[in-house]
Amino acid sequence: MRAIVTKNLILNNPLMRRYRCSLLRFSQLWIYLTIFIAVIVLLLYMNYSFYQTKSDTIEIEKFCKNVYYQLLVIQIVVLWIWATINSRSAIKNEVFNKTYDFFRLLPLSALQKTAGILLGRNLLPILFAAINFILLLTFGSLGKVSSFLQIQVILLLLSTALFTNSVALLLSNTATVKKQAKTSIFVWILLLFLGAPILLPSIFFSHRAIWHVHKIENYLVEFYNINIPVLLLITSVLLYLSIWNVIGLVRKFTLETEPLFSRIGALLYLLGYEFIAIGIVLPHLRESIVYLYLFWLASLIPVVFIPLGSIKSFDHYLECCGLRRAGFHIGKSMTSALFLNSNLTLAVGLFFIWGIISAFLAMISKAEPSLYFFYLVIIFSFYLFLLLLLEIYVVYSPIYNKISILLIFLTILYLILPLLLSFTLRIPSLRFYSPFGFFVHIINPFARRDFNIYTSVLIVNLLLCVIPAFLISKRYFHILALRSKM
Amino acid sequence: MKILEASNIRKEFGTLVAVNDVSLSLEKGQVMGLIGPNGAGKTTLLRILGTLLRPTSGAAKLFDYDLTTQYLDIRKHIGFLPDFFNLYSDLTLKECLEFFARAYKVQPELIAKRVDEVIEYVELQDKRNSLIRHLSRGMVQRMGVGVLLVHEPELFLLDEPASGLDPKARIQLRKVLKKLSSEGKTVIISSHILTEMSGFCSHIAIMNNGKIELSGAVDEIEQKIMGSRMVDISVLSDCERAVSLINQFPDTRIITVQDNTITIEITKELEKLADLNAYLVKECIKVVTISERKTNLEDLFMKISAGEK
Repeated sequence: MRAIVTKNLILNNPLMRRYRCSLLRFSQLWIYLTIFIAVIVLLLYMNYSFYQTKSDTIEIEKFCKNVYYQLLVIQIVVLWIWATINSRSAIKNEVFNKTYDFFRLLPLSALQKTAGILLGRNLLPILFAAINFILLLTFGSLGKVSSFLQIQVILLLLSTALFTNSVALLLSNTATVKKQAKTSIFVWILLLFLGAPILLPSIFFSHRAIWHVHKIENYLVEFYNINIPVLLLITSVLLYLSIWNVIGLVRKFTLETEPLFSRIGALLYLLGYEFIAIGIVLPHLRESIVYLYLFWLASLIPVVFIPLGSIKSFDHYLECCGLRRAGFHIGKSMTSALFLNSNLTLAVGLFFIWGIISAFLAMISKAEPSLYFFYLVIIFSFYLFLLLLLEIYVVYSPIYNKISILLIFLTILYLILPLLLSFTLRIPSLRFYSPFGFFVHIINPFARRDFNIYTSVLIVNLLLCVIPAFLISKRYFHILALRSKM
Repeated sequence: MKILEASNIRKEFGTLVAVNDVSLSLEKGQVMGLIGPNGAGKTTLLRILGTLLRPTSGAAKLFDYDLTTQYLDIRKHIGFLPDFFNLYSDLTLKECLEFFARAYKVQPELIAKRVDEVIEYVELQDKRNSLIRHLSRGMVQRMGVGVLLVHEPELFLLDEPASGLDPKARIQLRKVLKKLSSEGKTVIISSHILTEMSGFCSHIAIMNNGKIELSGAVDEIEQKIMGSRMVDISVLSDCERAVSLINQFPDTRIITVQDNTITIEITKELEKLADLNAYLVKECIKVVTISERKTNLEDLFMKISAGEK
């Protein structure tokens, strides 16, 4: 099974061959090889010179350990930066070079396309990373870096590389890329001249910063009462996120115009994320209420970002109502189709799940139930207003193509203005009207809990929601009317 | 054998209806010219059939596969050439064709042979090891057709294949397209330049404002909308008198008079033409030739768009 997967995804993947032909052509490969070898030789020479001037005899172990950590920095640059830039530009290049239609039509599986780009487009970084891994293992062993740490570091390097590259490819995987901002060669030359004197010494001295990495080897964290080395936990979390990225890529390469997350995908992603977040905070929940707030903050991130990844456009709305009208879903009205497909329904559903989990953890942490219930309702009101702004963008952007600018302005105003007013008018309670100010308030254990202010924040938020809700409903009715006429 | 059966295909972009309930069918071996002015919806329709766009509503079957649900299967059987395309400029012609052959799962042992055949077909033998970035636009366009040929698709969808080419490149491409037509390949080709399509389309579909105004075999359509025939009459002398005589002849209309050639429109019945000839001879007009002018796509299109049905 594994052999078949390896064969289809890597060895027999036509995209791998396509990139191999263009990227590993000797006429350009020798240039990269020369630079890479020069950097390694320079690094070794600088280290050698550094130790020789300090004493007559070179301590091999220290020398090798030092080189090991510097090679680690190079590996990070190669796998996390160079490869990520390559992945980011893969689809953009296809669109810009007008080959994207051919690429889309290739009868390859979405997984083959994903693997083909992530590996094929990065053949050069992978080649150099492979050479560097050999050097790393050699210098690590000579420098007596523990094998367990080396394994953890390698896993972390690879999982982070997979994560950053898959995110980059996801960000580039859009059919709406219209132009490519090409950096002028002169800018690159300038960057090289300015950057080289900074970059080389930075790599050389970077060991000072990461010299302490070895201490992390034995640092354990509790995850659902199981002690796990911190690097392994980070690796696992990154792998979890990367798997979702790859699922997103497969979805994008298969369904193309559909949003990143399906409805079920969005829910599963959130549940998985919450599982990890709970696992990390649960052992500490009774220690301090701060862990509950940390959980709230961390676990709210996907609740905010998943709706963005699942966003359905105005065209999708028209389409889903049209399918109902055409009798593909007999028995269900266009209104229910619109409701089920609405971005608002999903986002509110996600918040509801988050709310239940948060309330459950609040109970475990023995927090005051009425207070935390109030907090949840107020957070929901903030969320709802921001959500309505997003939906206004969805339904009004076909008419006003610059509406996003106005909405971004309003969002910034909503987030910042209460803080500014609180500062300039010296009315501290005004800051609660900003989500930021409110979060800072609930995290602060010494803050005075004032239910009157909370109520007024809630009322203001609900009042603010009225106009956007009215505008959105108007547009929803317009969609239904339009679809009935079509 | 039916290759394509589409009914009520519709594509909306917001409030714009780009393709408006189009129904179309195509048999194996037919070459259909999709003609219409810019913005008629040709590209959108082709992109829908090429599985690059999902229709808002409607249904279509290509090779018995459903267009909206089995589009991955359809992609194996079609060759789609977009209107503005390029090929992988960092590959040589040979590498590029090998890449597409592998992607379309051509038997590994056949790839080399197929690549050679295709390069020969598009007459780019001397460029086989050149990088694509070193080819002219016309060559890239021909290579585009070559890329489609490499996996021998059952249906070719060509969107304005000659746009932006110089006359020489246009002639060379036309040669390749004619070859496709003569070999019995099934093709849908769109263009707003009608002369490009003349001579090798067996069928046409005329699009306007997202709708197919008329479609069918070229002969049938010609029959349907050209109720009369165009005839060139060359006379040795006395052209002016010949013109006045023709003007008096019933069911005849003079279109142009150039040198000693009079182009007329006359009803379809051959008898009428014979009568006119006899009449002119009787009136001592020295008729040199009478020849029927072949109706071309341009005439048809102009007739339809002018609403002269």
